[in-house]
Amino acid sequence: MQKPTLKTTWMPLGFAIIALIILNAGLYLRLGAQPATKDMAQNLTIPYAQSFAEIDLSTMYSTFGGDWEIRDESLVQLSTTGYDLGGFIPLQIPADQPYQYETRLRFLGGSMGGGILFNAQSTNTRQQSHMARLNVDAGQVWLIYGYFGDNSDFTGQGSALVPFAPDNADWHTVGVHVLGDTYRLLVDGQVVAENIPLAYFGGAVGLIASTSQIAFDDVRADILADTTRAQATAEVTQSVVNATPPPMPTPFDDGVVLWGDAFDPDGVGDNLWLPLTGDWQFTEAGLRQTIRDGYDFIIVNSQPVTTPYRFIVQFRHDEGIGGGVVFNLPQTTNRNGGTMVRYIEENTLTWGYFDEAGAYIGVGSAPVAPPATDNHQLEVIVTDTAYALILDGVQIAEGIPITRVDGYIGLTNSQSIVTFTRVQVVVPQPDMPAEATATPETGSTALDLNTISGQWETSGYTTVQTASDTVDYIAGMGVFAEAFRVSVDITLPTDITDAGGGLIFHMNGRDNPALGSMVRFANGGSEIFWGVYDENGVFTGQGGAPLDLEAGVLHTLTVIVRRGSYDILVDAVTVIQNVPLTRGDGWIGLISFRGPVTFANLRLSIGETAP
Amino acid sequence: MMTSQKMMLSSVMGRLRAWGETFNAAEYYWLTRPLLIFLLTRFIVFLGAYLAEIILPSMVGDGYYHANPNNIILDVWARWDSAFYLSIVDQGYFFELGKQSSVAFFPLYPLLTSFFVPLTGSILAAGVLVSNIMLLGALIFLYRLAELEFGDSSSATRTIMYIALFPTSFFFSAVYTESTFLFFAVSTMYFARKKLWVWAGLFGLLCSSSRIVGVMMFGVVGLEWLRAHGWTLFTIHKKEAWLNMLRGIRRDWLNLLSIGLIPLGLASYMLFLKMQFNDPVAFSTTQSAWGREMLGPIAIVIRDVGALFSGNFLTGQIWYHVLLDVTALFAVLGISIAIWRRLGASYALYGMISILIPASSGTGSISRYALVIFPMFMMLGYWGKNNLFDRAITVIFGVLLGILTAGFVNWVFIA
Repeated sequence: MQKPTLKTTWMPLGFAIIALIILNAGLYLRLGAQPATKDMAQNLTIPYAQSFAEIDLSTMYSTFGGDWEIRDESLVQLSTTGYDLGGFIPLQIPADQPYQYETRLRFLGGSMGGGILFNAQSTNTRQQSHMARLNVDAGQVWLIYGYFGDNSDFTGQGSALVPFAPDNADWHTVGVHVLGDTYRLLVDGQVVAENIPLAYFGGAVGLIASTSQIAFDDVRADILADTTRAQATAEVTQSVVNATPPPMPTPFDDGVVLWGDAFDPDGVGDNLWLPLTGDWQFTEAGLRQTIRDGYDFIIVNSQPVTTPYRFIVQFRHDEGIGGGVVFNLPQTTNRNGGTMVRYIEENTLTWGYFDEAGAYIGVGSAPVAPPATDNHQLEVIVTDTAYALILDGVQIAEGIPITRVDGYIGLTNSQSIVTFTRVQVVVPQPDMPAEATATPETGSTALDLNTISGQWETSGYTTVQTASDTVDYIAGMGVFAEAFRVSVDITLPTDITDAGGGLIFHMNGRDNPALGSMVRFANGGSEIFWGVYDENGVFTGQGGAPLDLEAGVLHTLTVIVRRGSYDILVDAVTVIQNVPLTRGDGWIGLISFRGPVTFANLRLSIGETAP
Repeated sequence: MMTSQKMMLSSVMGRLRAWGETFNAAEYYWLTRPLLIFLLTRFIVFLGAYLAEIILPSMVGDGYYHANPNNIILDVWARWDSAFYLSIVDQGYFFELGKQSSVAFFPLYPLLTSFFVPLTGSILAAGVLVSNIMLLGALIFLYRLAELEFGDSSSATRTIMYIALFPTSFFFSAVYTESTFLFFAVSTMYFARKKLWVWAGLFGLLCSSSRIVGVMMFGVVGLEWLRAHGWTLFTIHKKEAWLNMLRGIRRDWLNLLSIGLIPLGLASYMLFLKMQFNDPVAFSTTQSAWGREMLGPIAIVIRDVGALFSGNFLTGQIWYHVLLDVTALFAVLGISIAIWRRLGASYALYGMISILIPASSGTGSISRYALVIFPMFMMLGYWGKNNLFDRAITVIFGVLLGILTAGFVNWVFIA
């Protein structure tokens, strides 16, 4: 056995101790996570000015994402594909120091998404930093602002329209005045938003680009001596949204409830709700999301909704604040592309949308009364071009552009526990008298037929399908319903002996007849038959009956759909009752076999109807 | 005049000849052969990387960064995970749940790199310098270890030639931790085999701070210590073996205790992670962001081999790196049997554990992890006595090294 010697034992033992000391010292002093405060070591202090005439980017700026270069004495971010690509200036500003920070920027390509970061708590991640940047939406340029939270999730605090065009390539200045616990934002020297609460205090400042090539120049930071209001302030957010309101739809007060859910204890309808995130529980009090900590918990209803519609939700906050709605979600499996409206703070309602990558883009916000734990009703009226917000009967905003026209609706909450007690989707009532006399001149609805196949031409109250091939032609009525009564006057051509026409309902999609049930006249009115389409659109007959209808004369086809079955009537005479249904709800449309087939006096009554 | 010049020339030639003879003397093989192989293989790798970068088209777009586009010779050595090491040196560690974070990368290599930054003036250059210095050191220690085990310089020379020519050996020159880890793993083993336990503890400590699998040197050196004291896995059933072990503990407790230095490298890093991010195993926590999940090596191999063979080899629609990784995995496991028989349990366990730990969560990058399993190269070097085997290995490794290096520098994911 070896005896301890200097060479074999004590010397390596000493080296081991030294190695341990160096390793640990190196870990904490050289490799430790760098908060913004560590960058003070680089001795950059305010006032700070940088024109990029001479700068070594590798030592002066720390970037996360993007392709940053010095070109033509400007700092340029060249990537057009990434979101929120940032670079920080190693500058530390104390938490209690009022300061101003600005940069000139110029749009070079992409989607004009340049801006600033400030009060950043770290210089290698956007976590815990404030952001204000330009964003193109609905053909206009907005300054959107908010902050990145602990998980880099962006919380929008508002947006403001700026007065230049999306393709404008001039130099503009974006700046911020940080004042105590609030900040104000300036574009080209004009205040566009102010009194915005700070979530983070002090720290580093930086630049940000999102899906756009941006040149930055003349970056300046300085102490702000005058913390008083500098100039007249533009109205924040809501009024900006109101600045160019697209036309709103009729509010369809006489609309019909397409569907609703009061979250009754019987559990009917519960399986239509699909949780995306969060812990959603159906309780006696309603649908409740029970995780308090976290953002954007969402549950989606699996029934698609098409504009125009009115989405009404009643809810209360049990803990915290953050309840709201999502709508126009393109799919039921994630939030990407959807629009969201919710409380963000005690007295603020905010709205925005999730981009294709699922990142939230704030569009606007408005002060509202604190929700406390009271019940509130939030309504969203959605048209093909815009939406409006009504909270507890008071219109909060209108004319907010939408990013897409249809999809799914859902419920959401963040940083709170919220109980949703009732949900309704209301669609416009077709403008027609229920059970009007069957005359071609009166009572027909001005339904917005969308052609699935064939040539459908509407004139006045009459719609004619003129394509004459020996196939079924279908047009959707844009109405989704479960139980209803629908009737239509059909005139078959006299010269085509096998022509037919009728109704199709419970279709899988507005433009998709799959899974639908169909009833139509056939062979020039000598018979009627009914059946269903499978998921591939293949029709299977369920039954038929002989008729003796005269071609060239209108005959009224009526279908009364209840839960589970339906009845068929021709010229008010019952043909068959209680035909079983294979599907609970769906879209309604017209069907024509060959043509020309004339449809008139379409009458639709939503809800359970007696035969 | 002419005579004087001839005499001078003759004198210079004589000195050069003498210097050459000294340089080629057997007692300096431990230095000269690793040095020559280092210079030869690095020349090939650097030249190949440079030519591949300027001749072949590269991936472009977000994520395909260039650490120094003004110096291609250096820039080609920063690809893929290199960005993490560069950012650690530049900005320190970061950890973000759900995001690929730099805490996954152990601190020794970036720390050594940071020491060289003042010398080189750039992090990239320092990283490349450290990688190559460590490689040279690793080759020297590996030569000496192989010579110790096989008793002949030819096997030792082939061992270091094979490892320096291995298809993924370009990682030894890149801003990656492979050469640093190899240096400390081989040196730890070398000192253990020389029964210099405290030295083994010192180098093992540094090994465990360069990669997570470095901590297994604790077990490897421990096994060597037991073997040196008459206890092996094969004598586990004999009472005498246990008596020998107890006797060793009594008489050699200080050396045994020094082996306990080895986990301190890992412990230091875990303490640091606890202090900075409140998660002492953040290096493991962040693995999920790479899509790794612990399924065990058998399930992983079944899954990945199944995925490989669901592709179309004829049209090339396969996961090429899975092919490399699975090949490397089976090669290591297969050779480990021979390693156990020829070199002992400690070497075999080192090889198998080095490969099975990462293989438990995915075969990805196995061909890079195999690079540091030096017992495998020792066995290949031993078998290389057969000329045909030697030439086949040399040609296959050399050709694949060229192809993979060209791919790596042009942003093709290799491992």
